[in-house]
This record gives sequence, structure tokens and C-alpha cells, in this order.
Amino acid sequence: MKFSLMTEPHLGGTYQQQLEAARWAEEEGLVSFARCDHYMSGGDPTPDATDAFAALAGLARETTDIRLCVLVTPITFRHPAVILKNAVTIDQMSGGRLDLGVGTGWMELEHTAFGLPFPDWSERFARFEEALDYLEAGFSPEPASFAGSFYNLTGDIKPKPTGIRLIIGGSGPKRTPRLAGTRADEYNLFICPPEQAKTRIDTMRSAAGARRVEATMMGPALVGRTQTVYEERLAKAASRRSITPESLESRYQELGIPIGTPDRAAEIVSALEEAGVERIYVQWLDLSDQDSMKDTVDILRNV
Amino acid sequence: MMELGIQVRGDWEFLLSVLKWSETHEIAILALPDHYLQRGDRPGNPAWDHLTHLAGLAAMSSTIQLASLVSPVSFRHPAVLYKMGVTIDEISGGRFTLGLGAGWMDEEFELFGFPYPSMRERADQLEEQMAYIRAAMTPGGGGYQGKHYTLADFDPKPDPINLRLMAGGAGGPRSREMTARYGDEYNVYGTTPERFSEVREKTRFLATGFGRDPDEILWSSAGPALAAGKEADYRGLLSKMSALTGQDTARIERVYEERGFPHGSGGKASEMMAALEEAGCQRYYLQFFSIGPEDFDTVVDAYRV
Repeated sequence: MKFSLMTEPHLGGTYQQQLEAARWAEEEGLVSFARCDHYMSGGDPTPDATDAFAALAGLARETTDIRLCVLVTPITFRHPAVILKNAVTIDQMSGGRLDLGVGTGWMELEHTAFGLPFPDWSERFARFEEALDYLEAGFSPEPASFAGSFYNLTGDIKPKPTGIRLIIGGSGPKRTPRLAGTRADEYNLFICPPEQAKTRIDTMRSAAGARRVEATMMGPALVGRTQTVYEERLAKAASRRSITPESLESRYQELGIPIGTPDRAAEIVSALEEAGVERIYVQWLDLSDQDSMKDTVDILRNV
Repeated sequence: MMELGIQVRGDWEFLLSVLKWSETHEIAILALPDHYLQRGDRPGNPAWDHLTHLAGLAAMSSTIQLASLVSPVSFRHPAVLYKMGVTIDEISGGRFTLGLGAGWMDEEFELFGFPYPSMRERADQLEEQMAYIRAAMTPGGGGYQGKHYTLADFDPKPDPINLRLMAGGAGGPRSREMTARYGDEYNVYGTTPERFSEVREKTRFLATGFGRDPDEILWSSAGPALAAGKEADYRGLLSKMSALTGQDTARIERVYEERGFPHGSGGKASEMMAALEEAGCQRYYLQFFSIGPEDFDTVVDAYRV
């Protein structure tokens, strides 16, 4: 199993903290440093929320080897031309290290607060599919054009990407894995139990046919080197959510989240591997506690 | 003393070399234009995202100011402009100025399928974007309710360290008013000292009327760089400009004269700069689009007052 680090800087996290985490992930030899693309969260006061592309552009110049990933950018924020130009610019600045995740957008709250358009789900999905066509036309080595009902592109767009990988992800059971199988370089599943993961990955694979598509999963983990450390972390996480440790543990267990001591987590990780997951993005929420982040990723990598 | 800025475009390696040069040559500010297509170019010529580039330049520098000069109104929603602005502000430690304009290059809007409403509509949108971003930048800004854009009444975070908002325009009544209300800097493009002075006075009067201290607004201008100490060097630069634009050299000189772009040989460019400074201009952005790195020193020296 391979690993990446996933961060959520809209929950709070300065550029410097993102840089510290990305540099650590690079030194550790993780596949990528990933971050979300949200402009706010429901916290009060609203925590710091930086722009994903601007932050990754900075990180592109302050790291050397690790891949940099936006997981995922909602098509509701930016015209696909801007996604395309942001991506090829980071591609050049990083020497081809950008993984570009694109999605429909889901967090209504941030759209309402910032006055960003948030059409209904079917229009968002239609826009998402058109944005994929638009990006494909713009990225293709030959001049190509695209005419849709929301977006259109005419002509020869340069520069072309040198190493951009396209990620399609989410928790949809059918449309998303099929779309990922036919269009993406990587299919990213949100954490779910191994049986469910297997069904979705199989759906993706049958759509992909001979195309090589990497199957990855993103989600949190709650582990400790000893039962005592694990229980302390569980208690802390439960109290943040104002629930009992027992109910948090059973909720995490149902969701298929790696929990417990290294032995227990190892079982979950190998079940996911068995189900076809090739890489796990360990989602870490609190960028001010990077010691626990490092310990968690380290435990999972060495199970 | 008038600050000199330079405006360049190009790929990342070129920008990085210009950044290094600027930091060692008393250049106060490095600005990038925002175009997804270069005027007069074939559509196949490469163009990048300038805000993405500026974020990288912010990470690679420590003292020089950086600016977007300027971003056309319909490329991005003001939420995206504000968030990219505040992120570059954070990466740079407070060295970024976000410039906004109405957009003018029809071809790029058409090529990429961006909306491109009438000039009047674009000016409306620009004014709303300035108001929106100003509200977002200001702790307790109270949100914004416009016809095109709305921002709920909350404090988006992070708060800027020193993000500055610049309006770019030709000095007309609408851009004067939006600068007077919302701008930290007004970049008046291609004006004679007399006109510059008039625009400045009118805007300052408006700002006072809106309850602002007019000295808060920084006054700047921009124009294509075309000057050298020696006549022969100047003629050489003029021919390059002629080759780039397809206009004959006499016409170029006539237009520069009419529009008040400092240019020429001997002390002429420097004298024209001094006249602009006299008219209240505090910063001048030299556009280096036709100037190669081999001529940077010669050209910049000819503009120093």
C-alpha cells in the first residue's frame, strides 16, 4: 500500500503550516501532499481558508520531488479556463508534479456566503462533465475545440501539461466510478468499508477496460502505538464531537476507518488493499498538531 | 522619489530571472499582466495564469513588492480573486497588490468562452468586484449586496496582512469614483502630466467626500518602456518595438508623444518622468514586453529621475 497526506486547510492552517506538512511528507517519501479547495467551513469564527491553487503554486517552489494535489477543486468556483491555466502554470513551476482533482462542488454553505453560483445537483453534474471535456480539449496535444451548453473553447491552447494527472473522486456508487474509469488517471474513493470499495473499484475497472487508472482512497485514521495512546486520542476526538468514545469508535468501525493499535489498523489496511485500493490518502484535520499527524501516518505506513 | 516598477510576461524560468534581476536593481515592484492570450499572437502561443505565477514569485522573494496589473473582470468571480489575493498576501508576508480592470482583449474572451458583456456592463461588474473585495478584506466589512455579486455579512479569514487593491483605467469618471471609494492605488494608463494631475485632483476630491483620507491612495501610471541614454540604442529599441507591433517608428513616436508615455534618448525619458512625478505620480510601471533582458539595464537607467 502506498500513502499520501491529505490536509484540510479550510479548517484552519496557515501557508507555513501547509509548507511544514508538505516538506515532512516529501522527506518521508509519501507519494503526494494533497489539500482541499474550500473557501470556508462552518466554524465560528471562520477559520483561515487559503486558495488551493495559490498555495500549491507556492509549495511547488518550496518542494522538489513530492507530487502536489488538489482534492478536489469544485467546478462551481472557477471557469474551466481558469482551472486549466492554473493547472498548466503549476505544472510548469513544479516540473510536472500536479495532481488535479475536479468535482461538482457540494458545500452549499461556502457558495451562499461568497455568492458563488450553486445550481442544483443535475446542473452541477452536467457542468462537471462539460468541464472535463473542456479540460481534455485544452490539454490535448493537438489543437482541439469544445462546444457545450455551459462552456466552449475554440482553438489551440498552450502550454500543454507535462505531468498533470486527472483525479475524479467522490462517494457516488455508479456515475462517478464509471466517469473516473473512462476519463481520469486516478479514481479517488471516500473512505468506506472494503466490500463497498471493491464494488466501486470493480465498476470503475469495467468502465476503464484497458486504461490504467489508479484506485485510491481518502479518509481519516485514528491510531496509536499502544492501546493507551489510542484510547487517549479516541477520547480527545470524541470530546471534540461531543459524543462518547464508544460511539465514535463504532461509527469509525462502520465507516471502515483504520483505528486502534498498529495490529488492528493493519487488518483494515490489508482488507482495503485486498479490495483493490492502491493508495491511501491519510486525511489530517489539525495542522497545528503535526506531531500526531506524523505519528499517525508513520503507524499506517509501517503496519 | 518616483518608484520604478516593471511589468513583464513569460514563462516561469523567465519570470524567475527577472525577479532576481529586479531585486538587485532597485525595482520597487514586479507586476504581471493577466492575459490568457497575448495580443497579436497566434492563439497557439503559450500563456499562463498570472496569479498562480505571482504565488510562486511570492515564495521565491523576500523584499520586492508584487502586483497583478491588472486582472480582467470576467475571468474570475471576486471570491476567487479575493482568496488568491489573500493567499499571495500571506505567502509574501504582505507584499501583494491586486489590480482589477474591465478587460479589453476581445479575442481571449472568445477563445476561452468567457462571458464578455458590453463595456458599460463590465464597468458595473468591476465596480461591484472592487466593493466586494474591499468588504471581504476589511474585518467587520459587513458583506456586500450587489446586482452581480453578493457577500454574506461575515468575516472571511485569513485577514490580509497588507493586501492592497488597485484599480486600473484611463482616468474616466467611473474608475475615478471606484478608486475614490475602494482603491489603495490608482493606475492611470497613458496620460500626460496635465491629465494625470486633473484625474488625481478629481479623485482626491471624491475620496474626501466619501470620508477617506485621500493620501491613502497611491498614484501610479504605466507604459511601454522605450528609452536609452544613447540615441543609437534608442533607435535600436524603437526598431524592435516596430517589428513587434507592425507599426512604423514615426507612428510609434507620435503616439507616445500624444499619450505622454515617457520615452526617447538622452535625458528625455527621465524629464518626462520628472514631469509625471510633479503631477503627483508616485510609481511608474515600465512595460518590458518588447525589451529583452540584455537591454534591461540600459532602459531602466534612462528612466531614473
